[in-house]
Amino acid sequence: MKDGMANNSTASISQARKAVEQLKMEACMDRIKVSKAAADLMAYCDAHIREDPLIVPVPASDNPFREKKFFCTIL
Amino acid sequence: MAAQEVQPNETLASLKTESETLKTKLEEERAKLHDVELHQVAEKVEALGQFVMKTRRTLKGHGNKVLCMDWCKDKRRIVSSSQDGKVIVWDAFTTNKEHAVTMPCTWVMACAYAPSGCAVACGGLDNKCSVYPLSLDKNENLAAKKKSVAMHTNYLSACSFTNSDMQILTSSGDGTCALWDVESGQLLQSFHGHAADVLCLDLAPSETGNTFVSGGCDKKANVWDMRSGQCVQSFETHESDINSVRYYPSGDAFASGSDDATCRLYDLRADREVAIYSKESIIFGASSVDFSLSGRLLFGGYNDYTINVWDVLKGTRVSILFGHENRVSTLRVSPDGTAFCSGSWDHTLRIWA
Repeated sequence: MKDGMANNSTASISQARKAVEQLKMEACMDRIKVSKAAADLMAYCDAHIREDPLIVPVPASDNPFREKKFFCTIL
Repeated sequence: MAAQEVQPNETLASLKTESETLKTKLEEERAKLHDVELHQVAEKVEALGQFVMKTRRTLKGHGNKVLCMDWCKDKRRIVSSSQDGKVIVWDAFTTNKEHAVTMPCTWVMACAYAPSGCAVACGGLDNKCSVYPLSLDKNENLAAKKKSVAMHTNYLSACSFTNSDMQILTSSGDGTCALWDVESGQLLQSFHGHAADVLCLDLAPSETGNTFVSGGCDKKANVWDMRSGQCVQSFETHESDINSVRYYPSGDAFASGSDDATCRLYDLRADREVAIYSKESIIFGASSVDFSLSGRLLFGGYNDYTINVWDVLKGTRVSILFGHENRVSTLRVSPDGTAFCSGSWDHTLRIWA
């Protein structure tokens, strides 16, 4: 019975050790400021917004889903 | 007897204390860089105009709840899977069904289109992910060519091909994610770290390298290195299960949708949550999220049958879309951003544009 208990605590200790190692690794990360991250997210949006068909609609004839006619293929 | 050596000063209690100390330190480091809120910086951005988004197509044919869908790279075909075990490939332009497969299990919770457009992958309560090559011959029995690729010890919650038809990434109720070789069925890498069922995953846009994000019932979103199997970043701010994760198109951030009725945006380089998309009136969980092409809009499908459209930068809701008659369970924007598709427990899929 003592062995069984030792195995359980060994597994928990091993798991806890892994958690500590994981946190130490995550702590080492090079982070940037939110202001810089936000600016980059905004810059990406700005660069691509004009090509975003759900924001700047393309003419209905170019969007097969907005076209009124049924889509036909010529066989 | 080979028992692992326990250092005298390393008891479970001391490791847990160290864990807590490190977590606090991590939060402090993150807080130091929290100099501003995204929506504050975005105040100067031009507001979006009025939205006219309507259901343009309704895909009817499933006999039960639609659980998952994916677009083909050709921007017109869609694969969807359902609780009744059926997987259907549709032409979204014409609403015609092109292929149908009946899986040997019910609750097909995951499906994905191969990058080549020549195959689909799916799985669910069978704990497997299987690949079906799509034949040009409509009469051919697809089920005969089925290839079992992934084997988990609990349900398959999500699957995705990597940037080729050769590898599949899966997530499972068994708490792990895994990368598989399609041809041999071999396990290439497994990803351990979630403390409960993993519900969703998304691959980083190919330019940003070999990582993916997963979300689970442990309320965590983890970012993984596909080559090493290591969890490189972890985010735990949601208050309930994370049902959906999706990368921002630049690859620098990702959004999540949760049973806590919020969607959130996490920036990977700032290593923190940078936005919450929520309203007091929204009390039902978000099941699926996806970005528009530019990343300015976030579409969220909810368990209250609606789709909320959020301004990602300003944090406000710009539109609410009605139409489904039951929970929205899955939502994806088309590859060229001209439309998005939602699937629902009302047995239908809708294309919105």
